[in-house]
Amino acid sequence: MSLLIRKKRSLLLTGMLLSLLILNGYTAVVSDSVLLYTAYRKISVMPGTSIDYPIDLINNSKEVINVDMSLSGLPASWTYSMKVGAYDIRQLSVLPGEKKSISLKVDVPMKVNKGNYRFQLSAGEIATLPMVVNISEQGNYTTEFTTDQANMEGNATSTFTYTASLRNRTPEKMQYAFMADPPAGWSVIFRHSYKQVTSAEINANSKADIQIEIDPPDMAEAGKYRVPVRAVSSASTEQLVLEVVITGTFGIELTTPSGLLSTSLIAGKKKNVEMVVKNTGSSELKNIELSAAHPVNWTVTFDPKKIDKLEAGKNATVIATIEASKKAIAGDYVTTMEARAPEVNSKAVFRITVKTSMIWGWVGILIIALALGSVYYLFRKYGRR
Amino acid sequence: MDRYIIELIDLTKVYGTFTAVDKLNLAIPRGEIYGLLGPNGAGKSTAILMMLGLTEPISGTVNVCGINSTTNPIEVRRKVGYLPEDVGFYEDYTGLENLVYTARLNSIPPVEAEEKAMSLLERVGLKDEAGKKAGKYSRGMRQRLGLADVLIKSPEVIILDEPTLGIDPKGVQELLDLIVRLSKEEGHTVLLSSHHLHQVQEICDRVGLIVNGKLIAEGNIASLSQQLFADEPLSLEAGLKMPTQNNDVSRVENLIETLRNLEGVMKVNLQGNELHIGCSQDNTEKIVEAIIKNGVGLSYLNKKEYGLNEIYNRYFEEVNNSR
Amino acid sequence: MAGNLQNLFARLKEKGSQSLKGNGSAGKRESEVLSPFRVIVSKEISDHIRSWRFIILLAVIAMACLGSVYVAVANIGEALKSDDPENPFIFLKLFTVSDGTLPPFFVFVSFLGPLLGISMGFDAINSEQIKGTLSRVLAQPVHRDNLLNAKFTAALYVISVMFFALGFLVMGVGLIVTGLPPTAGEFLRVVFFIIISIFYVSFWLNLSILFSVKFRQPATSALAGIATWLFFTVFYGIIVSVVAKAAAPSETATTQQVVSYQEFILNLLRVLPSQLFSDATSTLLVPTVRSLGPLTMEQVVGTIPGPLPLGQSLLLVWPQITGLIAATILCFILSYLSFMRREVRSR
Repeated sequence: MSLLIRKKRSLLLTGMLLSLLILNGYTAVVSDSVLLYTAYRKISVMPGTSIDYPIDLINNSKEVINVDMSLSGLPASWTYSMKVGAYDIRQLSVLPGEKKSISLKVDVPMKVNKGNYRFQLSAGEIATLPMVVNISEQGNYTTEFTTDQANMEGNATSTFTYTASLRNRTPEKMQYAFMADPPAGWSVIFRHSYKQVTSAEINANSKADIQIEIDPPDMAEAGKYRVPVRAVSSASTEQLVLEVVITGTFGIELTTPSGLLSTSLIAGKKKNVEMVVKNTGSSELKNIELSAAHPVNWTVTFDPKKIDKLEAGKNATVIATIEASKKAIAGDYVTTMEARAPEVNSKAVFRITVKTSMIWGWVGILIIALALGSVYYLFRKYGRR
Repeated sequence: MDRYIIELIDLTKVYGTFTAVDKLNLAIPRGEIYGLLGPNGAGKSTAILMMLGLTEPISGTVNVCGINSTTNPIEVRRKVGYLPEDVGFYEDYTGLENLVYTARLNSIPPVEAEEKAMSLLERVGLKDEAGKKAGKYSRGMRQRLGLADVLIKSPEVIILDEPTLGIDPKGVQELLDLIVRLSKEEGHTVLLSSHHLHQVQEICDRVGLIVNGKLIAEGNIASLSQQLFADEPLSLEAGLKMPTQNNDVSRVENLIETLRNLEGVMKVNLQGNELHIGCSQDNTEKIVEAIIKNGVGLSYLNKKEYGLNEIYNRYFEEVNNSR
Repeated sequence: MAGNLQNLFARLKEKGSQSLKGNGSAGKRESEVLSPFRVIVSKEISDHIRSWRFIILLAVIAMACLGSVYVAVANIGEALKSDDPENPFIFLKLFTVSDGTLPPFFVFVSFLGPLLGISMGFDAINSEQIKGTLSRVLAQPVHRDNLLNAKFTAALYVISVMFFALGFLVMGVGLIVTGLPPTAGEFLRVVFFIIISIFYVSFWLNLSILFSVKFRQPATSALAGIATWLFFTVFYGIIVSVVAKAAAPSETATTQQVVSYQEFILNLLRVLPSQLFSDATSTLLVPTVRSLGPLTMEQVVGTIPGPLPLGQSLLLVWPQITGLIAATILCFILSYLSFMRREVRSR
């Protein structure tokens, strides 16, 4: 280090002082009169970063100086450029008592090891400026496909939306095709900027957020499922494994064995209707209560009134006893029956055709029969005349 | 039983308080023409209605052709032809159609009915009027059509209720002749009701006299007068020249006294200047002698035998007087 | 009676077989030997058909009905549009739709039916009596009730044929105009409508036969029939409205009271045969009619508007039908009794 910064015309003492100064973070003073200055003596960057240094060359002497600008100690894969305004600079000339600003750009390659890298900027032999770049992480040449939340839980009817970030760490623009390998019957959708996509183009060294929607089938059994998703480019295949945890679903259906939701009934009479409560979910249902919304003065009772427990996929038969009001008129009435579990409920809308009682019909027939009977009696009595 | 085709036994019919037929007994043998005589309201029609089963008796029985009319009227009507009083026909139908209708009511097949109707129309002399609407028929024609109507069912008994009512004398004569002829030809029994005695008198074998629902006499004309005037079968009418002086009046009284004492004289009755004398035997000579003896002028003397007409009139006079 | 019936049947059979074997030769009237009853019936039928009275009435009724059908056909498009599509019943509309210029078919029937019935029966017995044919016919081997029954049967037969002909005529017109065949339900409803019309007319027929038995003059019985008809159609309504006004519940009356009041008025009106008839026919011809009386809210809640099945419609109007039939039979019984007890004398 001290060897490097030694100048032809400098004193040993001066060199020692300089080293001291550098170590202490002081402005480098190579000579009394010419000075290279930057604020960023040591910076820490990521691989692949371009570092822009603003550098001042200050002439405190009484004469014009002409210096060659050079950068030394830079690793081979790194590149740099020095510019003043729009021009690349090799040599600078500074009037006495003035300063010149130079912009130095150092490109850190993607593939670089973690650690400190030292190099120095020289202005001829008059002044030097040592600089340190700390690479904060191991640089590589790959794509990163990651998510913060790879595990989600929900019931089978829900859709699981994961957010993954896809980072192109290669120096080129890349086309990534998305693939997934879900269990049969599952669907996986990729979205990029809210659009459903099967592939995405990502610029070099930039990243994109990809939403992955996983929709399990409604009948999926409870359990833990692993869904590998991949972003495939020409250079590499990145895999991300998403975990879907399906909790049990709740489903209930109230219907009749035949599915026919209509019946007929005589006003004032009772009728039993066989109803079926189906657990269409994948979890057990408890405390299913049956109720009905019926016309005024009707009664609807259920036997049993309550189902304590119904396992997934099982049916329970309930007898609903419907009693129409005595004053119900002939025609159609609607009655809504409901099976309600704490989690879910199901309604069955029944169309009940009310028929009026035949009793009055029979009474009418009786009256007519009586009348005809009396005619018969008369025929008997007088018919022989 | 079989001897009598119409037999009424103690037949009674009461309307409210009025007794129309009062224990009527009647027996008519087969083949007879029987006249039922009586004034209007005597119960003739009621009796006939009961014979046909058209009305029911209070008590007693009616047998026609051996069939009880009350319990089995249909069978009786099958065998009895009845011509009601003042018979009517469907006026929009022709005479022929009316007859065919009756025939068909008697279950005669249509074709046969028509043949029969035509032949009957010919027999009653309505052949030319067969196609004429019954409404256009005169009364006499209607009665003849009625006769055909009665005969079309080939009845065993014919009952005619006042058949001669309202017909002119010539028509009556024709009709009665027709009745006699037809019934004799076919051997029908005929029951004829009338209040016209002289008509009935001509054709009836026997006559029954009904008054107030009772049969008061029955038989042929002679036996009828025997029955009714058993005491006075002969009658004389003497027209007297009535004297004007008082002693002459006593002469008439003397005459009546004399006559009453004559043998065979039953009854002497002075009406105006006509003297009615009822006798049980023919002693006209003695009566004339008595009149002359008593110095009473005689202008005429009429000897009469009682006919049905007289019987009838006389009887009804009595009935009317008693009322 | 039973023996008599058997006898009758035996004779009928005999006659039937005879007529089957009949030589078929042309008589004035084609039919072969019939029972006296059927002879009278066929005579009465031909009398009715040939009478001017019947021809005129038939013409009036036919014109009125065809007029109403014409109006119905002209308005059926609108009626169908305004109605809900679930309730087409196009055919029934033919009998009920009107634009107000002419009453619909069934109203015509309820108005002219009594006239028809009265005109066919008012001189049934008394004209025979007056003409002097009654005693002549009854002197034949004919049961006395056969005459009355035959009079009734013949008139009923003529009326039935006429109404069925009119009803089917209307259906035929409807078929041509709409091009749609009636459903079985509609067809049966129309048939029941016709049958009820026949009962309605036969009520008036029996009433006028009763009058013809009771009154000796045909003019009297015709007047009595028309007076009854007028009373029922005009004055009874006035009386009911007077009663209704007098019995009207106060404004503070409960719903219950109002409902029972309305039912009371309705029941008063239902004494009318014409009310029974129009209740019955309108329910049959308008399948969406579900009740004939006032309805409480309780009865209406939860109902779904929709047509009633035919059986239910019939059951709904069964009391009306029973009433009509019973009234008809009652009139028949009365005339029967009166006729049978009476003594048949010549004029």
